Formats: sequence, structure tokens, C-alpha cells
Amino acid sequence: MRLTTKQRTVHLIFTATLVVFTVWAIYSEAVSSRPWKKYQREFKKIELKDTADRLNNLELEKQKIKDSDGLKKIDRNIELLKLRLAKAESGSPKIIQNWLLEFNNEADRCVTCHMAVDKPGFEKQANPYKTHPGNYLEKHPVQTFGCVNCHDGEGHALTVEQAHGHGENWLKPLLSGSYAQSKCVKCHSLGQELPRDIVMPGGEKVVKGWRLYMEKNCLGCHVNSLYERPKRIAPVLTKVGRKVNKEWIKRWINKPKDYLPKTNMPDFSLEDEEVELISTYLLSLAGGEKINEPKALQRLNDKLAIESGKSLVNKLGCTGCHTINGKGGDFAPDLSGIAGKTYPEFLYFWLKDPKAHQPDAPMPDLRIPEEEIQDIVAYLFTLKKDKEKTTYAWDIDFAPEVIKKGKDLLKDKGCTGCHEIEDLPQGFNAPPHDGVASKRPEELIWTNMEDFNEKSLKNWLTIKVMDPKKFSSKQQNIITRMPKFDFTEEEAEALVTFILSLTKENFPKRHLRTLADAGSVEMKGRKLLEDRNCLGCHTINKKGGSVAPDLTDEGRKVRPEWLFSFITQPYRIRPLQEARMPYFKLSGDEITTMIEYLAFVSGETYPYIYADKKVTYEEDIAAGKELYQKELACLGCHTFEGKGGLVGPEHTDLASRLRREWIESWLENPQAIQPDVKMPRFKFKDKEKEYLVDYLMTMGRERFLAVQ
Amino acid sequence: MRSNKRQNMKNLLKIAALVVCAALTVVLTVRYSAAGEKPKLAEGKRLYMHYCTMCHGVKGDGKGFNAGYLDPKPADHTNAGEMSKRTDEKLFDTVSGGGKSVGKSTYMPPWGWTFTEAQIESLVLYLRQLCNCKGPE
Repeated sequence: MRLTTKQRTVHLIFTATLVVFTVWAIYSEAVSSRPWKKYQREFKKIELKDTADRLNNLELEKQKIKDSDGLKKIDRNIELLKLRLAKAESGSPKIIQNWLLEFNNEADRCVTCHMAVDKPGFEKQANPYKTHPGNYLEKHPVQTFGCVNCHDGEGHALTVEQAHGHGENWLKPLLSGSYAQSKCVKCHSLGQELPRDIVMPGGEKVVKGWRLYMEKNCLGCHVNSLYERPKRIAPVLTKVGRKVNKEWIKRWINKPKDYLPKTNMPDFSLEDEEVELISTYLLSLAGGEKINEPKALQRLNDKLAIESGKSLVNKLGCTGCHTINGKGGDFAPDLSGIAGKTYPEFLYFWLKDPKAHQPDAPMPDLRIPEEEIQDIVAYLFTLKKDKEKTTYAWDIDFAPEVIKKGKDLLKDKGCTGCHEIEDLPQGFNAPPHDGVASKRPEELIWTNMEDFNEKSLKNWLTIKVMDPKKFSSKQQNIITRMPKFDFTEEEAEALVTFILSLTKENFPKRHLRTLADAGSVEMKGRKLLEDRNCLGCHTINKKGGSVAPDLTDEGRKVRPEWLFSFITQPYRIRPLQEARMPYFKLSGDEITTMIEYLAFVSGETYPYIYADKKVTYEEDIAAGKELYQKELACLGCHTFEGKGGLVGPEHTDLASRLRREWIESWLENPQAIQPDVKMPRFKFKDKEKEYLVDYLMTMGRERFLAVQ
Repeated sequence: MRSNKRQNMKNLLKIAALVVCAALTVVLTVRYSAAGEKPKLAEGKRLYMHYCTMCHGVKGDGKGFNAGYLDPKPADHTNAGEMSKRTDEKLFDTVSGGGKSVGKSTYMPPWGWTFTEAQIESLVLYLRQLCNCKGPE
């Protein structure tokens, strides 16, 4: 049969179309619609080459090895590599997926392209051929946890754009780099009570963000059902009118960081009129109530007093918490500008008993005698005094309508989130943080940022924490009350990482872990240490200040009963010790925590052991007394019941204070425990040391019994 | 066969010589570094200020803040008349063995188990500077 021209043409067209479609289908299958195949082929090449290289190296190494054990080992490795090689050679491209039974039965196909995530040895390759950095996968195998549970993105998608969550309407774009740490805390919850210096290896960024979230008191304004509303962190302002002058409080509210660069108080970017209104309202509280302490003025401007005050602030331990003229800690406010903030009588009144002004003031009572307070006040009032005039509450006639306006404004700005003021209710209703990280970018206000490239939640949060007012607009009546915290870029990244953890998703209970038990002795102790800034003066394990004794060994050294009575009511032990242990007014529970923590630090499993059950004999004690008084002449340096030298610690309370085993190891070699101690090392003959300790354990026993 | 044996002997000798040399070097280095710790005036002053001034005073005149509690009183190290009667060895022994070892007050404790010999020699150097005197020849 002959075909007509028409038929031929039709046939040709069909054939051509078929050919074109076939070619397109093959091309599409191989290259365009399955891009993962390209990645798999590429990785196969890399893996084959890598394995072959390693095999070569091993073969070369093998020639050098002579002993049979080494040979066996290397043969085994060669065998394993050969298996790997065979496997890599035989494999043809296919979709690899992890079926996450515990996580909503989701299918996670990321490893189709990221084939090396759990294969060590490809650390230096570029993505997607790279081994997962760090040791995260050791405890979080990719077969169980998948990828999207930490990194977000669209797990079942197989194109680059979609899998990374950049497809249209996909809610969870990829969390790149350390942002993925936001997921750590979904299972390893940090809670609220852990010490702020807690370490989570591999989760450093999110822990830093958590610390900022707590320190800057975000919970003061943003409700978050994961956390309890904390106690207000800033000073009570109800009586601020008797403390500071108007010029200072205005400068402070206007730009807090000008006065204290390290303050947690944010910048509210207020207008001058607003500053005036709020300051006036605050000063009107308890206005006119000037502190009357004539003693504060007696030694002011006295050169000797100033000199003495200057040395006192260094000796007493003030700089453990405060910075004065560039020297000291940043736990409490820098005092270098104090003369421009308050007046001598108030400072005197404050130093005499900080809790008299503010019952829950963090500043402890340092038990400073009146004359010394006079000297310290005299010195502090020589520091950087602003020459301009100062107006105090009792100099001002307050107009009721101004006070009311100021009070309303203060409530609106949310000052009560951090400060207690009169009986105003706590906090300001900023948007709650429950599930804030599950918000869609469209739900957020992007005013002034319409042209912004990538409108993701992460980017929005970053802009918001760096510059909160960025989205506000007077024309559109969009008001932002959130103040500016002046975060660095790194801090902002950390904080955003933490906020991104506040999603609505819940992970399986089986995988929930607490990072550390906040109720454990260690954690409770560390938190207390932080809250009271003990390490501003004391050292523990080489960390901390040097004005007070090292406490690393304290749990091994002293009796817990004594420590309890000492913290409750501190007294002078070492005549040479100039810093004074403050009176912290800790609760019984807190002191017990501290004692247990110190025992833990010095490796004592349980602090309450009575060590001196040893039977002692009168003649041994007498021999020890002879050594103490004559041979070693201990009283040359130590005082016992009012007699003796002032170099070493008092011995009047010795037996009630120290533990027998510790005294024994101390006498053996004092420098081994405290390298720069002034006590010399003695060498004892026969049982001399035992006799001496027998005697020492009789000194100040009565006090010990009283303490018990 | 024979030359092989000789060769072996030679090698053995070489190794032995090397080992001996190495051992000698180590021993001598350790010894000299210990002996080489020379007394230094600055170190003497540092030690004196830290450990001695409570009783002997910052100026060395025996009037430290703790002296008032002691009887007999601490020695006045600026007294050239007294100090020049004592040899350096005697000063060394007093610091090292304490007052009791030289028939003096036990309030002066022995420092020989706290300081190294070089440190005590440094202290003697500083004592000589304090009194601005020399010991008897």
C-alpha cells in the first residue's frame, strides 16, 4: 500500500512529535524535573574517588606494618572500604526517605540530596555533599529525628527551592546555620530557674538568647505560658522622689545608657515633653520626704575623710559589684557619677541599711560603722559632680493635672513591666509570646519595609529586636511601644534564635529532656551564687574576685553548722581580711542550699558528717597544748580568747569552725592548699601533729555547742 | 660473617656512647638549672614584704603591726651593729630553722619547709641591704 502525501505528512508530524516528546521526557527525567539525580551522581563520583583514595592510602600503610595485630586491624578497614566502594558503585539514583514514625509519621527526603550527612569524612565538601558538622547526629540519628525537626523546610519536597521551604505559602523556611539551635530547646527545655551560665554544648547560641530573654526581662511585658511572670527586676520606684534629683531622672529616662552603659534599662525614645511628665509624676511620689541624716554632712569635704573613704571602697569589697572610676564589677550600678544623682544624706541612709529604703534591694548590709560611712560618703561626693543645679522633690510645686498625665503616660509606656510603682498592676499587654514563632509573615506588619526582599519571620524579628520602632508610622497610626535595647548584631541573632523556639509545635514526650535539673544542689547553688554575686568577691574553682577567701575548699574545710551561723550572722575571722562579708539576710533554705553547694564543689558527698568522733586523751591534748604555746608559738600570729597576734585567723572559735581532717591536711602543707598563705609549713615528729590537732579541737568548743 | 659481627659490635658501642651522653646531658641540665637559681635581691624583697613585714615592719625596723603582741620583740634588721655580728650562714639558718634552732624566740617560725634554698639566700641578700652591712669575715 502506498501512502498518500497527506498521510505521509501526518505520519511525519506524529513521528517528529513523538521524538521531541521522548527526548524531552528523557531530559526532564534525567535533568530538569529530578534535580536530585544530578546531586546523587555527583556525590557518587566524590564518594568513589574518596574511597579509592583511602584504599590506596591504606594499602601503602599496610606495607609498613609488621606486627600481626596492626595487620589484622588494617585488613579489616580495607575490607570495610571495599564494601563501601562496591555499594557506591552498584547504587543507581533513587529517592531516599526517612519515615519519622514518632514525628507525625512524616516523610523526610532531605537525605536524597544530602547523602553524606551521617557519613564521616566529607566535612570539607560543599553542600549538599557535606558531612553534618558537630556531633549532633550521634544522639539524634537522622533516621529517627529526620532533618526538618531541627532545620525546618519542606521535608518531602525534592527541589532545592521547595525543600528549603522557600516555596509559596510554606510556613517554615529553612533555619540555616545556628538558627537551627532554636529547636534544641523544644526538647532540652531551659526553664526559668537554671543558672544563667548554664552550658549546652552545641546550643550556645540559643542559650545566649535565652539568657538575654531573661536578663532583659522580655517576660515583663510579653506573656508566655511556658514561663511564670518573674518578679519585677528593676528598682521599686514608689519612693524614688526622696532619692534622686529631677535633672538626673530626666537624663536617665531620656538616655539610660549615657549614665550606665551596661544597664538593662532600655531606651524608650521619648519626646522631651513625655520625659518631663513621667519624671514629674515619679518625683511626686513620696515627695518632700527628705532624708534627715546630719551625720552625713559632718565629714564632707574633709581631706582625710575623702582619703579614707577612697581606700575603704577598695578594701571593703564595694568594687566586687560596683565600678568606681573604671575599676570594679558590673553587677550593680557604676558609682562614678553618683554625686550628680542623689545627695549625701540619702547615701548615708542607704549605706547604713539598704533594706530600709527598699526591703528587697539586692544590695546587702555591709555592717559598716558610722564613721566609715561618713568617709565613704565624703569620697563618693567628690566623684564627677555635674555643675548644673539640682532640684529635688521638696523644691517642686506639683500640679495635680501634670501628675495625672505623667501617671497615664507611664502606664501606657509599660514601665510597670519591670518597676514596682505604687500599687499599679504589673506589666503592659504587649503581644503574647505563646506560639509567636508560628506566625506567618503575612500576619506581621511590614510598614516601611514594603520592598524588603525576604519577608520571613526570622528577618522580621531581627529588625524588631534591633530597631523596634522601624515598623511604626504616624500616618498609618501604627504605634510601637517596645523600647530599644541596643543589642549588637550577635546578640540580636541569639535572641531571635531563642524566640524562634516559641512555636506551637510539640515534640514527642519520649524525647523531652531537661538540660539540667534546676532542683539539683549544683544548679540551685549556682543560681544563688549568681543572684547574690558571691563571685564578685570570692573565688570558686579559679573563677571570681579576690577580695574575699577562696571558697573552692570551703565544704571540706568548715563545719556546716558553723557555716549556717556565719552566713546568718557574719563576723570577723581574719584580722588581715579587709573586705567584710555582708549580711545577706538569706532564708534558711537558701543558706542550706549554699552549704550543700559548697560541699558539692569541694567533692564532699554529704556535708553533715561529724568527723571528730575520735577518742582523745588528756595527756595527748596537754602535749598538743605545749606544742601550741611553746614550741610552735602559734599565738605569735593567732589570737585565742583575746590573747595573741593578728596575722592569722582567730582561734577562739576554731573547733566550732573547722573540720578535723581539713586541719590535718592544712598543717601538713598550708601552701598546697593556699599558695600565698603567710603561715609557714612546719614539720612534725612522730605523733606531734595528732596531739596538736587534739588540742586545737578543744578550742572554742563551747561556741560550737552553742551553734548546734 | 665475622665482619658482620664486628659491625654489630661497633653499632652497639655507638648506641651506648649516645645513651651515656644523653643521660649526662639530662643530669647536668637538671643539676645546673637547680644550682643556677641564683639568689635575687628583688625576690628577697618580695618575700620579705609578703611574709616578714607583719612582725619585722615594712622598713625592717622590727616595728610591724604584729610586733606589739610579741615578747621578745622581733629583730630590728636595720640595726647594722647587731646585724654585722652575724654571718650570712647564721642568717640563713635562722630563717630556715626558725628562732629555736639558733637559741632565740620561737615566735620566729622555721621557713625551711616553705621556701627553697635560693629563696632564703635571696632573703639574706635583702637583709644585708636593709642593714646596709656585711657579716663578719
